[in-house]
Amino acid sequence: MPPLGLEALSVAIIDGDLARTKGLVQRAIDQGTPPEEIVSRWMVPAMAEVGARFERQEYFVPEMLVSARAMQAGLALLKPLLTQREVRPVATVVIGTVRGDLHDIGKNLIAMMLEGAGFQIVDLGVDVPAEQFVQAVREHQADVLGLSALLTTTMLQMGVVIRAIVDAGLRDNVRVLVGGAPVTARFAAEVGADGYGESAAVAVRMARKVLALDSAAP
Amino acid sequence: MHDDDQIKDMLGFDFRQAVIEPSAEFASTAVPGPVEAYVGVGSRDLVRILPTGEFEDDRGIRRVIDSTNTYFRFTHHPLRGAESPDAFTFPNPDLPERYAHISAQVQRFKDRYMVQVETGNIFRDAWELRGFEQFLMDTRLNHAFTTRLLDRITDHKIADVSRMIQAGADIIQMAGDIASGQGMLISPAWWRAEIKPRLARVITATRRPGIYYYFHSDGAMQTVIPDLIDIGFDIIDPLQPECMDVFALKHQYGTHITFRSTLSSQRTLPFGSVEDVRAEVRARIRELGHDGGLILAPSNAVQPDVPLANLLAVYDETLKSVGAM
Repeated sequence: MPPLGLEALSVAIIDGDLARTKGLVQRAIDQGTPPEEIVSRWMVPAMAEVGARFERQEYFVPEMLVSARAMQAGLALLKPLLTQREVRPVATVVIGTVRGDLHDIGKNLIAMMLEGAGFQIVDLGVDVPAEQFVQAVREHQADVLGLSALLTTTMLQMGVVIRAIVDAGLRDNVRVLVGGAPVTARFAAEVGADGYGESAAVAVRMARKVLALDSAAP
Repeated sequence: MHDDDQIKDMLGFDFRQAVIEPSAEFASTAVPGPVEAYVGVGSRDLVRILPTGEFEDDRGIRRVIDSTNTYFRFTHHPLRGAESPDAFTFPNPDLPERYAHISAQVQRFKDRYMVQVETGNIFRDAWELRGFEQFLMDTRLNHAFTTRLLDRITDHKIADVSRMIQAGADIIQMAGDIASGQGMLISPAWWRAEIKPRLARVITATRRPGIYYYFHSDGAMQTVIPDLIDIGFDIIDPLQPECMDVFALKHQYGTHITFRSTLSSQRTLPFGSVEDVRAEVRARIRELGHDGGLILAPSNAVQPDVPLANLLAVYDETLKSVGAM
């Protein structure tokens, strides 16, 4: 039997209730619940449920935004404690929309879902040149690089970025995921990406898959 | 806006665009924006350029353009952080200069072409004033703010659309994306509760004989097509074939509504052969071009990667196919 009491925290995140999320996280901290347990047992599954509802089209962007905001507020309370206890994030993801493209709704949703799943996110924003991706991957020792594009013209930049990562000698250190409306599995393979997600909802699954995070489980 | 009337004539366009102008007062303090990026307002794309390099329009919305000068992103929304939606003053619909371009285009084209004018579809107006993420969160967290803002937008739109029609517009285009390629951005239930009745109010208050109402949203928005028909829209655009079955939709709704666009901007136009494009044009005309029909067009802005031969094939094949009917 899992310990009782923090189901309400999961519910608060699923409902996007910021004040309640903060209150329950603070109470759990005060009661001595280990911070990594608060995150992994109650918060990450809540955001996974939000993602599942989004995928089933029971939740839409507004619901996702308010849940992510509640999650982020709860994490902000826990972050100093996690740092103190040297708890490492699941993995570090550098993400951005490629050069020439300013579309970021999908990219932002993916960043929120990954953060909610315990990943550390370095969001470079939009219209990001290849050099900046290379620099960020190196500086943050990223495990995953996520590239987004909405336009058929700008998705070609994904190949440019991946070549720059190869040229910088970083390709073996980082898995590359691509996504965006015109991107297909075939295109992803052609530009040398490790994976592609057809919607924001599958981002967490794809990231875990390319990092083989679940393969050790029987 | 380009004065590309000769090209439109040559290709056989049946429509001409008119735009709402900014006030003379704003125009006197503004300059034309950078070509192609459309960061400003009116027929001359007027903007104020701020010392920060941002472009500000007549509503106080600020944008910057991307490194290739073709798309913009927002940097400021006038109601960002505001306590009340009343903090925003709408452009005055009683200023005749706002509708001067419509009158001019009507005078020039009325006997030959339909003149269409674009305005927001209430949802877009709201997030442009408030900020996209903030407005979407408002819909969940701040009901009083949301409904007051939507009511103010609706009242202003009724005044604005009435004057667009008085100036001679034939088609009122109400535009703004409510969906992505995967589905609706906001819940259909929320859209039906908050946006649909307000759009209905605009149409009911302004409709005159011979005026057509046109709804535009990218993405997989098919779930609200029956609602759009129900409140009196005549044309739905663009029916993106990558995320919906345009033939099934025609079969289901085609006698009640005219579909516009439907040609694949993400696949066939940039990546298909000329023959693929011709085949798609023929299929659309054959399957969709009956019972109140079809306005054929690419399903989004044609990007620079579309071969010119493919683009010209759209118009050439259309004239051939229609000529043969």
